[in-house]
Amino acid sequence: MRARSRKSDLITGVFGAAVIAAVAFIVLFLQAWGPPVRGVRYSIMFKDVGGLGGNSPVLIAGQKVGKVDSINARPVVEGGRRTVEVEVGIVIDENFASIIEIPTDSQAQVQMSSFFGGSNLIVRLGKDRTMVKPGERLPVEGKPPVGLNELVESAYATIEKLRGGLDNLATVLNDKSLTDSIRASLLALQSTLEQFDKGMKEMGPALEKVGPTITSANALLLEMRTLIKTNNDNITGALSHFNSATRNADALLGGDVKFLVADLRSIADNMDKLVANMNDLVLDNQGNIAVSMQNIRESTESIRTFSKRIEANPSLLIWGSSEPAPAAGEAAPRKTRNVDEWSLRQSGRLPRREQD
Amino acid sequence: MNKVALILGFLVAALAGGCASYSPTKFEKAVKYLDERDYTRAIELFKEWREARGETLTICYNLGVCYQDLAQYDEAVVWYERALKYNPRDARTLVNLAMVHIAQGRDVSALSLLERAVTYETDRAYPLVALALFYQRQGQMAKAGELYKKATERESKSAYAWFHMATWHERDQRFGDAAQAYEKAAELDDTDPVAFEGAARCFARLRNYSAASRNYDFAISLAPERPSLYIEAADVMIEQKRLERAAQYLWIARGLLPHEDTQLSDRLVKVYQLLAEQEQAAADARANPPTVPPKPSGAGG
Repeated sequence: MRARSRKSDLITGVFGAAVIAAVAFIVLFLQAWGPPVRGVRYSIMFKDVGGLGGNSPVLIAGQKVGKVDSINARPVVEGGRRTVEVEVGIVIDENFASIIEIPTDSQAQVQMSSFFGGSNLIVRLGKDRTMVKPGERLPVEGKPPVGLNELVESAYATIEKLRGGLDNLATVLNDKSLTDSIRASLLALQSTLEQFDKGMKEMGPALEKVGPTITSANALLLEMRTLIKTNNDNITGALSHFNSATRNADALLGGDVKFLVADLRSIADNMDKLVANMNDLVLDNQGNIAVSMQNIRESTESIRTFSKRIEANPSLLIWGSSEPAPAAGEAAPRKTRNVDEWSLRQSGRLPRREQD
Repeated sequence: MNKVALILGFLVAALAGGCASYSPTKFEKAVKYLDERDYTRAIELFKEWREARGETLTICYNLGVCYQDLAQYDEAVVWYERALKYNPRDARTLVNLAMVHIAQGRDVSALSLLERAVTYETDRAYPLVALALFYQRQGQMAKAGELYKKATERESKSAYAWFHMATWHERDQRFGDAAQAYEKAAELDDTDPVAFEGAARCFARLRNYSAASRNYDFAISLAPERPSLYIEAADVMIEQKRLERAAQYLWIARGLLPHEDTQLSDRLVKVYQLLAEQEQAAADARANPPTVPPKPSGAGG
């Protein structure tokens, strides 16, 4: 019975171990192999990728936008020294390809995602206006990850420095001359405070004199009130004189000046009427004025034409002209203003027709 | 006695015939006003004639011309389209309507109208000239030149064709060809002051001042009311040193201009300065006559 139980435990243990191994295998397999991602590809050079995996996610602004597509190490010679650099190919998912543009000053960094392995590739976008074209390499070299060992080492170094500082402090405090000087400083501060207290006590009487000063100001106000009360009649008389003077001024303005203003107003009214009459006159005779102006203009034009004709042919004065006189009632043509003959000809318009 | 009666009767008939004066119709008066650029009166009379005698193609066409010259293009289009109702194949109306459309910036419809005009009118030059003008304004100068050439070959006595061909030459700064074409246009229509003016301007650019002056004089005799002609002629005369005549022309221009023109005043000042310099030079020449070189003495006679 006991042997059977032991055998059963063994089977259970083996089965459990097999399940754990299978789970670990699946996890590792899924980490190493992922479904292919279609999108835009870029590459980044690293000196150290810190164990970046082949399918590690690529994060931009905390969002997974793609994955690491390939990792290729290649030997290089730098300053006569052989070293290795790693080219990491990333692919940005096609869903994000149209949104994401990577400026040329962007930098990628490998970051650990957990204490149990696995890492992300973070791309910190820069501010440059020129963009890395799809398929090209980021000009800025990638930043290696900060390892756990380095963190522990730096923490240890910090603690060491802190410890050194505390030791120095303890040494200083143990120094007798320094404690003496601190004590002397405290004593000096105490004597200064005592002197301040004494000074304040000496200022006491001076502060007490402020009270009587306020009291005397109050007494002065009382005296002024009494003075006004005793001279009230005089002040009232002066005010009444001022009042009568104002009344006289009012009377003056209401008397002669009033008439003067009224005269001026009537003159202005008359002027207004005159202007209105003139306006009416002009409006009534607007047509006549326009006709007269037109007649004057036409007469001037006729005189100009006549003088030109006389100038060209003075014999007209003696023999007259054989040209037929214009028909009665026929107005002389008046050329339309701003007619530019050259523009009219340039317009290409064909001439008018002569016969209906 | 019979003879005396006959003579008397003849005289009376002659007197009556002489006294009977010809009175032009409203249409003729309107045409006269249109020629004198009095568009307002011309439109008024054309419309009166239309009301009295009914609408015709000519009336509508001439009203279109009036409105086109006044740059009232919408009205012009209305009247030209009315004219086309009477004869849709009237090439002159089509050309003028096309020119209005060009002024309105409706180039596509203008080209279509011009092509129709070219199709309908195959004997005269003007549809080809109008089409050439269209291409000239589009900057297609070579195509315009071909059409002008074809037009002048088709109708060598078309002043309209020669005039616009001259403008084509002038725009490309071929002033010699332009002057010749303007002179040809002026020869074919010797009542056209603008053709004489164009010729004069081109001759002035060629520094052929005598030809320029002659053409300006012709233009002035045809359009004595245009001050710009006197001013341009005066400029030519200044170059010819005919300063007194130039001053005379400038004064005439000043009298014709409705407002004071500072440029004209500057020209007058310049002419009088040149006149003063000329007189001073003449006075100096009189005061210091050129010394006559002594005759070479004969070798002993």
